[in-house]
Amino acid sequence: MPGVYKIRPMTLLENKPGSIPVPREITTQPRRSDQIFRAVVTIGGMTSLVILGLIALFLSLKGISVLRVEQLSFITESKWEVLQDAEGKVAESTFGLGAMLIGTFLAAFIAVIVGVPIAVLSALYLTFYARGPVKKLLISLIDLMAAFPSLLFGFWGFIVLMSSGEYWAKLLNKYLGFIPFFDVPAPIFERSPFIAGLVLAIMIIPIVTAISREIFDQTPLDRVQAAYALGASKLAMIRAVVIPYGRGGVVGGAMLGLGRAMGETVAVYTVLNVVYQVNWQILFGAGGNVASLILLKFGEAGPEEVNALMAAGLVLFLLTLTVNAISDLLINKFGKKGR
Amino acid sequence: MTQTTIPSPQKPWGTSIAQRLTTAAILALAGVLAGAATEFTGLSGKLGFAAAYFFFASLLIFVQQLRLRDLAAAKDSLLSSFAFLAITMTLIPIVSIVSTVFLKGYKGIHFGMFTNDMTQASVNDPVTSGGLLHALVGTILMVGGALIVSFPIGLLTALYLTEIRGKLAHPIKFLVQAMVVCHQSLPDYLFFRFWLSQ
Repeated sequence: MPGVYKIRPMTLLENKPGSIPVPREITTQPRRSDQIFRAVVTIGGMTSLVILGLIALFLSLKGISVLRVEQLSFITESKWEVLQDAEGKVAESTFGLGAMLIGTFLAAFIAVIVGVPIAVLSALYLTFYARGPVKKLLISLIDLMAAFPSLLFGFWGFIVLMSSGEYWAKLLNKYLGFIPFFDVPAPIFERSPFIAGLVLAIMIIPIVTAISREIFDQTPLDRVQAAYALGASKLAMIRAVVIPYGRGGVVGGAMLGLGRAMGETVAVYTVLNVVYQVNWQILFGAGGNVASLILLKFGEAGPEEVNALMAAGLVLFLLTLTVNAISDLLINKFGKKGR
Repeated sequence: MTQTTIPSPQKPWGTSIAQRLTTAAILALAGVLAGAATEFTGLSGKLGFAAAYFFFASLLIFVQQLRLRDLAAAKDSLLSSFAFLAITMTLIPIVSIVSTVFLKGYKGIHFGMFTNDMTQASVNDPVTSGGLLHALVGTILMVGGALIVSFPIGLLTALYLTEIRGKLAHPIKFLVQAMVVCHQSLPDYLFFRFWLSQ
């Protein structure tokens, strides 16, 4: 059609037809340096997983022979015996962790029951009552306590705490002896699960206090001040604002304390009289603890018994993981809610 | 000309002398009651006295608050009593551990402690012979070696958890937390045996 011009779009580059640049390629491919960084970091992150996996693998490889023989009675039965014949060879062996598991749970629960309320109240004191330099001093003291080695707690428990622990044990036995837990077959109150639990309680107090204090510190200030403005007393404010907000963190801290109390070796070994029998009477001077059992038996154990101890280590390992999983679950469930 | 009188500042909310005297009287009364309790019941010794003292002191403060104000204030005072007790019970072990270590250990501190080792000393020598040098060197070597191995791994793990956030971030975080909890020697000890047996 004549008279109609073909309209060509004008571009900036019209005069230089030879040098139309290729548009920059848009891609999700990261740069080389990023790829290398990513690979290095991922390998580093995997390392901790691999190390833990290796520990679990090693424990199961060593322990599987014993676990295969004993099966479920490894956990339920409480007998740890190696009988040798005249030539010193192992004739018969029975391994069962029952008593030690019960002892571990008992001591850990005593620690949590005694330690956690004290720790939470201390955290409340530090957050809402202490002021200025006193507060700073107290916080640094408690952090210092968290750094004490566990051997120190053990020795201190043996030398200093034992007599006062015995005193309270006697008192409990005198007035609450009708409850089966506080009964004793013979008046031996030294080196009991109760005292071991007290030492563990003192060990977990700084950790739980530190965690709870950090959680309480994060309570939104506007809510705190709103509660005060409505005429709440400190108790009412804490119950309405701080506890609902910090519940998850406190529960998590308590479970962390429980896990630590279960895995503790040296302090319990120093204080507790490790005896191989099921002992529900917490004031009586005989008890057990899986970790202490391993420490106690390792030096003189034959190859088969070593495998049994490895299996015990595996049980303890799984126990700790379970406690952590539960604590994770609880924290997520009770998460950060508040009014 | 009016004379303006400038009132001197007052704090009506502050504690008056009468209130302080009452508090002192309450604490003293609690002491008396606690003494009586240790005398007549199964509680005995310093510990029993301390427990009874706390019980009576918090009870009396509770009653006092209830009389002066109301139940809410009384409960509030109870909470502060318990918080104070808790912090005291937390501090007692710290003070006791530190003082025990110093009281039992100060005799062993001497000048040669950091420069000698135990090669020239035997069990029956006085405590001033020999020293800690070997143990210190061993500690520094071990901690140094542990740091060289673990610091990069720890740093990279942290970077992985915060920056990359891959599929395995959650299990790694969980396991690392578990390791923090069960760091008390046991897995490490077993792992060490594992290396020895190779």
